[in-house]
Amino acid sequence: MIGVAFTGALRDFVRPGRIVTWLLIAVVVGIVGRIWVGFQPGQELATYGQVVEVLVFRVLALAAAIFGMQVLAAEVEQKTIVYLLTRSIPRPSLLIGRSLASFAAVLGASWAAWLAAGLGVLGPRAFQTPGFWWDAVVILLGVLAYGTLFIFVSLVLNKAMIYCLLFAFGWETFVPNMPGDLYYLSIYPYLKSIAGHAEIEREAKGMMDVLAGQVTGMGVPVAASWAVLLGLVVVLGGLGVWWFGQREYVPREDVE
Amino acid sequence: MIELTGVSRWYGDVIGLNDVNCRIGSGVTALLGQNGAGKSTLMKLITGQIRPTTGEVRVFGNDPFSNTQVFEKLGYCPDIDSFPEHLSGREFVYRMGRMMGYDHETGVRRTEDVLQQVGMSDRADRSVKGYSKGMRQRIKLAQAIFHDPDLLLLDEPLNGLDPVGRREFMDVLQGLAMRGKAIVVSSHILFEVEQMTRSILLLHRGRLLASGDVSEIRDLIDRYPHRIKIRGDRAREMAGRFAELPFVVSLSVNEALDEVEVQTRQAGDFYAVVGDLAAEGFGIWEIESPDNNLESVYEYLVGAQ
Repeated sequence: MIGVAFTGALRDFVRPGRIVTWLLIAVVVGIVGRIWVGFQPGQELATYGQVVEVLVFRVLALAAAIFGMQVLAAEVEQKTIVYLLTRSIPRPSLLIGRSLASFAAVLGASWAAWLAAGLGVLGPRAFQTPGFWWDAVVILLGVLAYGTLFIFVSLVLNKAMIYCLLFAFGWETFVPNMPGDLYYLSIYPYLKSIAGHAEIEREAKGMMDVLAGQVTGMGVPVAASWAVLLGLVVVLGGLGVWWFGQREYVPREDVE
Repeated sequence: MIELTGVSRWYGDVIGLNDVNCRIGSGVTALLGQNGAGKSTLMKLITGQIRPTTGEVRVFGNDPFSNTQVFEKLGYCPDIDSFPEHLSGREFVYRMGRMMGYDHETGVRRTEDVLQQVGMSDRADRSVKGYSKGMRQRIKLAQAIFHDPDLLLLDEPLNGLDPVGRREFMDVLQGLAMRGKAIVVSSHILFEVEQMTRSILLLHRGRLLASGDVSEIRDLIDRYPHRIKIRGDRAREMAGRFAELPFVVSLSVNEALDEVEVQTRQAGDFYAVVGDLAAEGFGIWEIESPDNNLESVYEYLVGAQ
């Protein structure tokens, strides 16, 4: 039954119009990377790392928010949730199948952006560059972490898209640069730590360093990052499945 | 098949259903009530989308909330007009069927079967987005009967259908009922319900006001005077004839409108007399019974309690 939920949802998520949109976003990432590396001669590898962290990770977060809402929140908004919840498919299978479909869609969009970033900054030699393929794994981990978090938020809160976008573009941008321990409460520093990209060498920090969370220079140990992100996926995933099995999901105006 | 015991359901401070006790068995049962009476809440409780605040709902002996065993035997046609609009009718029905556990081949075959049953086989490959209201209702019915359920719940299935569409839809329902399915249909139109079944549950402001045969409801209504307006060419003379009838409770004449308004306890007998007058040569232009609608029934029944 998970397979049925997965294939049905995936067909909805990767419609032609959407594929074109995400491919265009990837192309923009590649073009920006190409321009960016022109301003930082001799630091191609570090620039590639910065493009991945600033742009690809944000494309990932954006895709996770959009496709995460499609898992169930959009069905509630459009009132079509009733069709899903009166089938003989168990709720956990439904949620897991649709979540996996959203992860696949986010992964596709993010990998497209990552490949475009690599080609834009490093050109064809990106594929031989040390650490390039490792980013594919980091992105997969990011897809699971952001995806699980956003799906969980959408199961618990109404209008979850707003919170998810605020988290992805507000919290994740500013908290990693703030002094103190608050950055432990964001996903970005953990991904950055596992990715292990080289940083741009310069004394004055600019806007790109802010967006890349490179202002304070604080980091999280790699092992701890893996533990935190995998723990987040397991805990929030489990909580989400439990919550979805317990809660009523009826369109809002029907409740009022 | 369905049993509700002391079921109440609150939405915050608003009560959707208030201490409802009832049993629904096989055959066609109509859930009758005005908008906001609690019909959809009752449907949602039976289909396990929501839980009762107090009391107990049992469907096939089980708690229906998120219960796949119940869903295997239950088909639900919701009152919403929402669909995944990018899909064709066939794709939508097929996908809903696959989620009932059917494999691809069976899913394709069953999809064609149910589309034929609801008369949509030839139009099912068009996008749902372009469907008329009637076509959308049929597709909703198709997904509900896909797995040949023992119990079928239809929430306001005739809403928005034109007379021909209603007739066709009712024919489909009658066909299903004849095959031994238990069908619960909600509606706010008494006339519609009477064409489908004799067995009704009457809801009003969340309470179960009456249940049983629709004729019992009619009898209840008949305890209270019917208001009937007649327009004709000799209004005052007609009024004189009506005044002699023992079952006429009151009457008034509006000569400016050529209208007589009568209150009677025996509407059937009164209409027979009107027929006799017409045969005698009285010009009868219009007969109107403002009471002959569900709102009046509610008023009567609420007043009677």
